[in-house]
Order: sequence, then structure tokens, then C-alpha cells
Amino acid sequence: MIFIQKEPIDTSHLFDLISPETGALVLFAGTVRADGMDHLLFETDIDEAEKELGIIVKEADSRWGPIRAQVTHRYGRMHIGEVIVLIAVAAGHRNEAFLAARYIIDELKTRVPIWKADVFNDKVAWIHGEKE
Amino acid sequence: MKIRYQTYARFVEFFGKEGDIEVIPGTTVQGFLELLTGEDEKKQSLLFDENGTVRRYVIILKNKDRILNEETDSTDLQDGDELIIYPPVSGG
Repeated sequence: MIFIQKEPIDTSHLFDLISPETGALVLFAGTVRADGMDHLLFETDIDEAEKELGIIVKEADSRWGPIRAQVTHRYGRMHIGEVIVLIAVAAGHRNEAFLAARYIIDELKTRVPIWKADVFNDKVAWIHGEKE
Repeated sequence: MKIRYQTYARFVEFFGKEGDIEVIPGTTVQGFLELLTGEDEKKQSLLFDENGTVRRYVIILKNKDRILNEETDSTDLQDGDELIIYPPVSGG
């Protein structure tokens, strides 16, 4: 399941990923760190972001699956302490769950069309890509 | 023939959010990008490396399909094609 949304992330159904075959569920949350800005601004191309994240999850499944995953990334304005992205991966064993979750966030950061900007005194400064 | 393009985030400051450019038949994606930057060195450096190759972390979509950066020179455009040009992503 892939969600690109403005709203805060609903965590109430995360454990629904657990099936009789699940032995581990890993959660990764990326949050807004206090780096001197007033807030962060995220922009995205929703359709393409959902499409590319779906491809990334399939890749993770082919390498460490079977996995069941939920990836949620927010866009719009976000303040310090808020959750930007939440990745939940259920797998048969913890190693596969950790590796798949790590793969998904690392690939997200280089392939998925989402952009982050620092906003300070109403000035928007777009942040460069991680490997740029 | 007319090609429509769209950009996001910091590329909007340089190329605008979207636009149309008239090109001659046989223009490739690479040729279109060169028209888009013109002689502006800042714009050129955003899209191309020192060899004139599209930068690795610039992502190009033609009619919603990603094209490999090394294929921009061999990908022809047709009238009405739509290009999306993503700056390097920075989500997460």
C-alpha cells in the first residue's frame, strides 16, 4: 500500500500487515529535525511518486520477500517533530524486514519525485538531492 | 511542431512551471533540453554535466514514461509530446 498525502499519518492499521507468515514488522519514520528553518515544505508529483514507490516495493519483495509493506509520504508544510515518511515492512524474519525497509527508504531518496525545501522568514530554499 | 513541458520545485524558478516550445521535426529530447536552456550557463549547468550529458539525477519523463538519461540523444519527439523534467529528488 502506497499513500502520498497531506494529512498526518494514520498508524492505527499498521499491525494489519501482520499475517500468519510474518515473523517481524519493522517501522521506519523520517521526521522533521530542527535545523534552523521555520518549517519544511514538500512538493511532489503524486501519480509518479505512487508509481515509482510501487516499483521500489516490488523490487524489495523480489529480493527479500515475501514482504507486506505500507509506505506513506506526506507533502505540503511540515513542522519540527512531525512525521514526513513512514515505512512499515512485515516479513518472515527480522533480517529481511530490516533490509527491505532500508532499501525502500534509500531508493525513495534518489528515485521518487518528492522535493523538500527549508522555509525561513517566508523564503523558500530547495534542498539538493542526497547524491547530487 | 509543439512540445509541452513541465517542471517542479527549484527548476520552476529557472524554467517556469510549464510551457510550450516550437521545435523542428527530428528534434530529440536532448535537443529540446538544449533549446530550453539556451545559452544561459546556469540553466545549462542544472541540466547538463561538463560533457553536455543530462545529469544523472535529473529525471526525464516523455508522455509519463521515464527515459534513461543516456537515451535523450536518441529519443525523437513528435508533435504534442509532453516532457516532465524533475530536479534531483530530496524526499524522505
